[in-house]
Amino acid sequence: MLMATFIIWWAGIAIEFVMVLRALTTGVAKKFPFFFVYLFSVLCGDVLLYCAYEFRPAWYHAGTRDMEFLNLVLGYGIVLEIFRHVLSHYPGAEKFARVAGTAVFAAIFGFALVYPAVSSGNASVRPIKVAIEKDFLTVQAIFFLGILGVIFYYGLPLGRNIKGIILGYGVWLGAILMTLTLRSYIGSSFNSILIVAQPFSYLLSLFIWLEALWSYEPNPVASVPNRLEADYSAAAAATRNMMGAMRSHVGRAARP
Amino acid sequence: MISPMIQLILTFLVVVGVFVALYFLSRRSQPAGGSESLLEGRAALDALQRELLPPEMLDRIFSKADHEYVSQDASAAVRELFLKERRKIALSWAHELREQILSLRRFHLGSARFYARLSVRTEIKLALQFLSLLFLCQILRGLFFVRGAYGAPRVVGYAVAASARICSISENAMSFLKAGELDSPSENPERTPMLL
Repeated sequence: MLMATFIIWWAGIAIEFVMVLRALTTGVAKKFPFFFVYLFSVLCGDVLLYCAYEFRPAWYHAGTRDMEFLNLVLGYGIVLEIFRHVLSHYPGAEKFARVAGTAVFAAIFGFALVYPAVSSGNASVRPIKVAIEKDFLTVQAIFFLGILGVIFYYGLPLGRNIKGIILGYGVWLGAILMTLTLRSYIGSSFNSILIVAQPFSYLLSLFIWLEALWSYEPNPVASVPNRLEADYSAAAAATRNMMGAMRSHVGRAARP
Repeated sequence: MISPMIQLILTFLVVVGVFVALYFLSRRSQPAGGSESLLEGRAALDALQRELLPPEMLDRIFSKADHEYVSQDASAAVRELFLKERRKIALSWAHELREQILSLRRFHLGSARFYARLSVRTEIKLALQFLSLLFLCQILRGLFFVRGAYGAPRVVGYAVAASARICSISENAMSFLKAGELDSPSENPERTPMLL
């Protein structure tokens, strides 16, 4: 293993430890439980794997595989945090994201079911583990893109914490997905780059998360102040009247 | 299996999409809140109704009567100046139309995001309508720039008609925003906007 990889590994463990400790003392962990369960599991995994690497090398490879899979699954917790903190305040946008997400999953699932039946059936020679990991991450990335699309489309405001979580997760997801794809395309010769690029991208994400989650900042929610409720009722009625009038104007204008 | 090269390209596109979205997210300023978008929406509707879409205004800008009058008696320099000025006005009209359509969309999205009874089908339909109308405005600007104010009469008619469709769908999408219902939000929690 390269020295650079070790340095990234130690730095990663140190940052994860600081983040978990800080989150527990400031109460940020309670606000983002799924995210910190993920981070805590990564921290435990990193420490255990380091010990295994030093003292029981035979356990290291099996442990790496299990931890990577566990973290992939727990990574969905980050998406849940985005739903909880951003979309849950906007039932309309949440419904849109839910329906779009279900449609994406259905499309991917349908493709996965149908494709083997219609393909030539040539078995792939790529490693199964890389393939599963890559497919799993691709689904995550498409789902993540969909959520970002809804956030942009409906102009949902984001606080510092959740924005940092999204940025860090996106950087990690994009980098890991790209390296795994290149690995399955180029082959094992790409491993020398992969073993540095993946931990480095994760370290970058950790720095983003550390800065963003140092202290809790509630996510802003676009509000219609109570004072405006009466005005809004009048505005809604006026808007309907205006739209009706405008339609008749436009109807006349559209005719040659 | 899918060709490895196609897999590579598809994944690359997804990754690029993620990074582009992150880039815009990091540069994004905080969007306007509910009340701001409501006021903006009202102003947009007002501008569309009173300034941009009335037939008198469209006649004034795009009717060929003025052009024919100037062409009969004026010198070539005056005719040229007239066409140049008219093109500027048409470009401003198309630009304003686009801005007001954008405001209307912000108003619609600013309201729709709060409602659990939102119809996804209507939202998608509306999104496509807005997108095509905005695209049409851009085409109009291009045509006015290249061919002058009188170069695209049919497209102007189409843009105006498409604006009408947008208003109609938007009105249906927000039909639950009735004054009476908003006065008593607790009666139906599903319809209650997040009033904080």
